[in-house]
Amino acid sequence: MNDKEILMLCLDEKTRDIGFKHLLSAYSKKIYYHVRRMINDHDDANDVVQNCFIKAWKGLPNFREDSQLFTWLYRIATNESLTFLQDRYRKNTSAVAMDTVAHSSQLVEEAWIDGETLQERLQEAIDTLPPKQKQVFVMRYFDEMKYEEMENILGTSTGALKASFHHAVKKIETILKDGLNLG
Amino acid sequence: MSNEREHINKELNELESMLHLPANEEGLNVPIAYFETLENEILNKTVYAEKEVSNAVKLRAIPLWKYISGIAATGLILYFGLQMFASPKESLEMQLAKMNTSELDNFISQQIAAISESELHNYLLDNVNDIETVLLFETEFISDATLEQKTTAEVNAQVLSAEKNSIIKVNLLDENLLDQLDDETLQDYLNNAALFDDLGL
Repeated sequence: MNDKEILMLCLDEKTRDIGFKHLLSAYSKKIYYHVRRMINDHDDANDVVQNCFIKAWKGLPNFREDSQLFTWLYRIATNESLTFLQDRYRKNTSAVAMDTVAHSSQLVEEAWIDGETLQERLQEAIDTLPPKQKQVFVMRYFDEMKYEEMENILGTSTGALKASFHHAVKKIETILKDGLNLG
Repeated sequence: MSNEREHINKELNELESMLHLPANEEGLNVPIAYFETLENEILNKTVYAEKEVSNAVKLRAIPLWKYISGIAATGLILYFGLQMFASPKESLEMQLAKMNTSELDNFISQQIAAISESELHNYLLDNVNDIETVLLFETEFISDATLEQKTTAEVNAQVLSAEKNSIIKVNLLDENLLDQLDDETLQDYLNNAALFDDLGL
C-alpha cells in the first residue's frame, strides 16, 4: 500500500485504525533507525519512537494534506529526538566528551580494530556533536536525505544545513583521527 | 535514493573526508523480533486503547444461517469479488477496509443474496469435508444422505484410530504375556493383526 492510500485510510475516521496499522508497518523500522542513530541507546530510542507514534496517532485527525506523510512523521521523530537530546546534552555534556576522549585514546594502543568497533567509535564521536548538528549529520549521512527534504522537516535553509553537515563531518573526523593517531 | 547516495559521497570527497556511507544498518544491535513487539506495543497504546467494546464484532450475535452461508459465500466472493469490484481507482482491499461492521454485514448479505441456491449447494457439496458437521446439520442445503455419509466416515475414522492405538499398546506388552495366552486367543489376535496389516493400518 502506498503513502496516498495509507493517508486516505488514516484521514477517514472509520478506517483510521487500519490506516495506522499500515503506517506502522511502513515506517516503524525507518523511524526507529533514524532515532537510534541520533540517540544511540536502544531503550531510549524505543521510548522516543513510541512517543513519536503516539503523537502521530493523536495528530492524525489534524493532519494537513499539503504535507507528505513521510515528511510529517520524520518531523515528529526529529523533534522528539531533539527534545530528548537537548535534555541529555544539558545534563551530561562533559561526561560524554570525556568518555569519548578516553575511548579514542584506547584505539592507539589496540593492534587492530574491527568494523563493529569502528562503528561504535563513530557513534560515540557523533554523540559529542551539539543536538542540531547531530541531527543534520544523521539525516544526511545515515538516512541519505536530500537537503530539500531536510529543509521541509527542520525548517532550516539549505545553505545552513550544508554548513552544519560540513562542520559535523570535520568534528567527527578530528575525534576519529585523534583516536587512531592519524592527525 | 541511490542517486542521492552518489551526491553525498561526492560531497564527502570534496571535504576530503575519510568517512564513507555505511552499507546498511551495521553496528546497531537490535533485540530479536523487536519490531513486531514495537508495533504491538504502539497499537496497544493507541488503536486498542481507544477501541470501545461496543464496536467489537460479536460473532455469536450473527445468526447461524448467516454464519454458515458466509463460510460458503467467502470462497465465491473471493473468486467473483475481484472481477465485480475491481476498479482502476480503488482496490477491493481499500473498499472493504472503509466499511464499518454493519456495512460489511450488508455487503456479505448482498453477496449471499446474489448467489443462486444451486451455486451454494454445489459449493457446499464440493467442500463438505472442510466444514464442521455440526454446522452442516443446521443448513437445509445438504441432504440427509450426504450428512449421514460424512458422519459415518468420521465415526469410522475415530473407531479405526482407537483400535489401531489399542493394537500398538498390545505390541508394547511384555513378550512373556504371549506364553500365557491359549492357542485360540492367540490365533484371533494374529488374524486381527493380519487384517489391519492388509488395510495398511
